Amino acid sequence: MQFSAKSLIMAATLSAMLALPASAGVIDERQEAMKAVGGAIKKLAAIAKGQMQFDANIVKSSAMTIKSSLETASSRFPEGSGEESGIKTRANPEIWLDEEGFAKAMKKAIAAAENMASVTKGEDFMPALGQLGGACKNCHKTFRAPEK
Amino acid sequence: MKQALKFLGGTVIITIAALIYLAKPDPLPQTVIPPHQTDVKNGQVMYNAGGCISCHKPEKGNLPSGGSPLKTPIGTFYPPNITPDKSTGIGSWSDLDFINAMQRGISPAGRHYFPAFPYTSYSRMKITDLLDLKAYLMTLKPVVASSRQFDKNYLRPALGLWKQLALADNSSRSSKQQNRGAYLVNGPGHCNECHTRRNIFMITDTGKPLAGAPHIDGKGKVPSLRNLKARKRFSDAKDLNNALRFGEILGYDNFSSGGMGDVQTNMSRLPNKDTMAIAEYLMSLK
Ligand code: HEC
Ligand code: HEC
Repeated sequence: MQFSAKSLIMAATLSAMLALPASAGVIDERQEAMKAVGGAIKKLAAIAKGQMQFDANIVKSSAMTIKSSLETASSRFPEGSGEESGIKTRANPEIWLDEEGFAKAMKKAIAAAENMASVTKGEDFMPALGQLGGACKNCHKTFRAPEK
Repeated sequence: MKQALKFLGGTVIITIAALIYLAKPDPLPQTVIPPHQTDVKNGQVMYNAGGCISCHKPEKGNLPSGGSPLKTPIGTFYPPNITPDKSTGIGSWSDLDFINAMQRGISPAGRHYFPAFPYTSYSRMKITDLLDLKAYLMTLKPVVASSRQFDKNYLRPALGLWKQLALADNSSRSSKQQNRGAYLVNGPGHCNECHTRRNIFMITDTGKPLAGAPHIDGKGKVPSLRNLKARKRFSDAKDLNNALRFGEILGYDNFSSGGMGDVQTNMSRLPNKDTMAIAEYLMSLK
């Protein structure tokens, strides 16, 4: 009896030790991907604020970074990688309660990034940025938790 | 012994009477309303600064006809219809009814509102701004929508005492308001409701206003709005103004979570000079 309890605890600890790095890896990867998204949109924001001149090449490359990083991030939200993982994350449990809504919000943002990548004229830039930023907000509003 | 008991009994009765007296709604008189030519446009500014739509939003549509759930630690509210429908909204309210709701948390029938309706902040608003706000609400399309009752209405009478404390503390603060930014932040903007820690009586702590607080949901925290420059959150008032007006469109990713997304949307509808005043005031907080 005592032995089996002990081995149960050991098994639990072992599996926790195994599970931890796996979760940590995926959380780290999505956060890195989101940071890249954040960095790229700041470049676009600099154009919007007039700190940088409109340049279709920079716009396109930033938009493509956003698109591919969002795609990376979207595959890094497995169940169990929320706050229950014990790792610092702002992923809201709502992600797994409304998986469809989360996927839809991601799709919308990726489409907005594609749209931004196709912008070649200055006058199309601000509307595309409004759509893109709106799509980040649309997801973060519901699916990203407040700071811990 | 008998004497002592009598004395004790008397004290208890007097205390209870005093408590009941203190808990009674204490509405403002008609004389607080000055003669005023209403300005609907200013009313709209107050509506957006006050974020009325964030809580009074309907399940569908963009008029403040209420009905969407508002979760709070004491239960779920379904904020009522504040469109000018005469039977289910506030269409038949007098100006004084409205002022008493916004500044004293008292309904036209004389009942206490719960502070989930942030009248503790709106009580710092100017009466003329409130009259303009009501005039603006009256221009909206009336929507027929009855509100769902809060399931703990039996608690209402007890709110009187709490309000004595919470509102008393307010008037002292309003005298310190010097500028437009401070007024918008502490009055209509009701930023303190989330960004200021509450004491054990659930009253926002005047000692450390806007210094951050635990999130009302119990998850995470609401950030401090003090020392924003020293903490490298924003480089200057213009930077913060951009964040308030444009949020994620300009890459400010921390303006969406925990309810701030709706606030930022409301802010984006204010005149630039008003968000700039808010930004300047906040950047000045040490
Ligand atoms: C479908 C949902 C979704 C979309 C769309 C989305 N994000 Fe995120 N984002 C998240 C979640 C969830 C987190 C929190 C991840 C965590 O902490 O594990 C996050 C985190 C971030 C972070 C913080 C990264 C860190 O850990 O430091 C930044 C920056 C960010 N997002 C920027 C953006 C930008 C910019 C866009 C739009 C171009 C965007 N995101 C679109 C869900 C989304
Ligand atoms: C943080 C959420 C919140 C915000 C913001 C808010 N309200 Fe409310 N309001 C409520 C709740 C909750 C109630 C119901 C309180 C109760 O049942 O005790 C309410 C009630 C009211 C009532 C009473 C209506 C009735 O039928 O009795 C009025 C009037 C009102 N609000 C006006 C406003 C106006 C105007 C604004 C914007 C300046 C506003 N509210 C902003 C949550 C909010």
